[in-house]
Amino acid sequence: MLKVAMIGANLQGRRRGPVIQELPESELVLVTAGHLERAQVLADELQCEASTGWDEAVQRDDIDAVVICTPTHLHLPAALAAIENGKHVLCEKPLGLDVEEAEKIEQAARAAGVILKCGFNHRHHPGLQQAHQWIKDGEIGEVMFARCRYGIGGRPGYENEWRADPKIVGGGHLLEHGIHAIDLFRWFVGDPSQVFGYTNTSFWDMEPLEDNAFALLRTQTGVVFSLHSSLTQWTNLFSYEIYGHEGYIQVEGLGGSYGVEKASLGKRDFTAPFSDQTIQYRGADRSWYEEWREFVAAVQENREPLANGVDGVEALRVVHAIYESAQDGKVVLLSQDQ
Amino acid sequence: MKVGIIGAGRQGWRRAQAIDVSRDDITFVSDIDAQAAENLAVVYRANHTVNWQDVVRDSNVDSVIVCTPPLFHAEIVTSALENGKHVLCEKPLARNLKEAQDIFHASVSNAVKLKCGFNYRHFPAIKQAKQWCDQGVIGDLLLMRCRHGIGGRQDYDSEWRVQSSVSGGGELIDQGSHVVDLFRWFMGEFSEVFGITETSYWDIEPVEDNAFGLLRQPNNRISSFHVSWTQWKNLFSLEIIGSKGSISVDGIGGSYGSQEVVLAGRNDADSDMNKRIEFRGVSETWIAEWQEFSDAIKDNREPMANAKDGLEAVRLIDALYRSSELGQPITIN
Repeated sequence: MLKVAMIGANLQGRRRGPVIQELPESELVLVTAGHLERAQVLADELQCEASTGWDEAVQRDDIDAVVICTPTHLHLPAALAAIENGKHVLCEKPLGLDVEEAEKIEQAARAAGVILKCGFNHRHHPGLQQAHQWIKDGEIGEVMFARCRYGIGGRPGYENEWRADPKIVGGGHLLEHGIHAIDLFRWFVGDPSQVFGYTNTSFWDMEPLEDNAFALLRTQTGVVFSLHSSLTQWTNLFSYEIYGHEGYIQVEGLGGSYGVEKASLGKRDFTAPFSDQTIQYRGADRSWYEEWREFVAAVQENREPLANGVDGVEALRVVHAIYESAQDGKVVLLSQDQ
Repeated sequence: MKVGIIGAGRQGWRRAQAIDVSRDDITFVSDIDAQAAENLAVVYRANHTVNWQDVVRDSNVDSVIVCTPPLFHAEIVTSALENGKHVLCEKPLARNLKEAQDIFHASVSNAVKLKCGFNYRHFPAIKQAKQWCDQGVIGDLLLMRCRHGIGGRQDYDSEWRVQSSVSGGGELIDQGSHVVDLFRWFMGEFSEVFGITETSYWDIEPVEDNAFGLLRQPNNRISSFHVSWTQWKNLFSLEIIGSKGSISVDGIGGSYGSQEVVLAGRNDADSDMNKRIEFRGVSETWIAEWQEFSDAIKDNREPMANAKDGLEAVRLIDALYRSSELGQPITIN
């Protein structure tokens, strides 16, 4: 039985807490938050203890693993404290405010020999898992390009949330949201070697953070990724398309307000009618549960988890390269020997 | 109106039919292939020739429709304008910026009309989207996205479209011309572009089968497109997001699926902002486009998609090619 403490009791904590209790191999024993009352409310719901600050969470001997779902600027100190005390860590994305912070976390975990997983839950959506499998099985042949349009419409008052506070987050909507699409591209295809991007703040009063980011990424072998990450997508949208020499894959929806999650596979054929096979994933979003299950398995098997510390670092490297490109108006080259 | 058709290929036939339906007279057809010219001319009881010069000099011709590959546009269009003919020229207006500028200048210095064949502007779904935008229904336009492509056909690699000396480039100048024209039509002018072109599948180098573009306006609004000859299932998707709502257009008829335009408000509660119109069976724009041209001549006004629009689209395409080559964004003057 893996004993777990969760640091942070906001929206993400409410998603991650219940699945820890649901999985038979794990038990949530402690929830901590900046304010005890908030921790207590969630702890009562999940039937565990509550405390304030993260000292207890990282120091108690009966705790094996720590889940970090604080705002981003607290990831580094919380993760380092947990790792120094020999705890395995599942840390919400982005791993840190910038690449340096993420590298510190990743290196500390490696040195301490603990498991570090970055919360790229999209990898655990069934449609995206299916897409990855189809690519791996060669169903679409050599990949040529991918396109992702990913956006939400924000909500009234968004500009007053911590997500819109540049002191707490390391970037705008691209870092908050678009980073998932970048992580998926790295998972499906590999690392980009060239990055170009534009960002703007076109609607929400959240400058200097962006509410829209557009990027074109290219790998050494000429695979191109077109990404638009938007906080002005009034009707929520998740669409990920991957085209190869032999066929194409489209994943749409993530359940909930994004619509039913669907994965389609079609084949290149110049004369036959257009046809594809589509799988629809009914029911609730189970990515949080699947992600947690994979983390626990990695701990039990003492292996690298899916979306490990390096993935957390590299996705951030791409995000910040897009920011740098947008700032300087130039293509940013990423070295290949990482 | 008496019309001369230069270029009796597939496009010439399409145009001829639209002219005929509009009760204008096709009086002259030319093609470097004498048989092709004759085949089309016979249908409409027109004269035919292998020399386009005969058409542009014929006093019995009021307007000329140029449906040749882009290689011949500059010479033919310029000459037709100088001979006082109104011209409807297929897109792209020319293979490159220099040729497009020559055409533009010839059009400015002659008192005739020049329309560039950006027929997408005449699709009813796109027209409806434009009308909503003009009426301010979705507020300030924040951005546009377009994904457009076709899977090619077997032997695509041997068509004239893939020879840059004839066409000016690959998929970027082919379907990409329509996309940048629509972006300009909806959003206005762009001041910087970044492009990536790739030859991912077809054996057509140095011409590209895929092109990605990001276009920036002086107020830092960004629009994004991808055009592809490896879009195994044909696709046309145009999305416009404004401060009060969004519009999407899907399909342009035929193998691209029926045209549908959807209007959605920013707030779910704003239910009268949600509309969906499907234009069944409409897949052609040639008649609407011809009639707009013919009305422009009658009313002595600029046609929709005029010489300036043709030139500016080529300018953007040219900048996107240069950007791809240099690997850096290009400022538009």
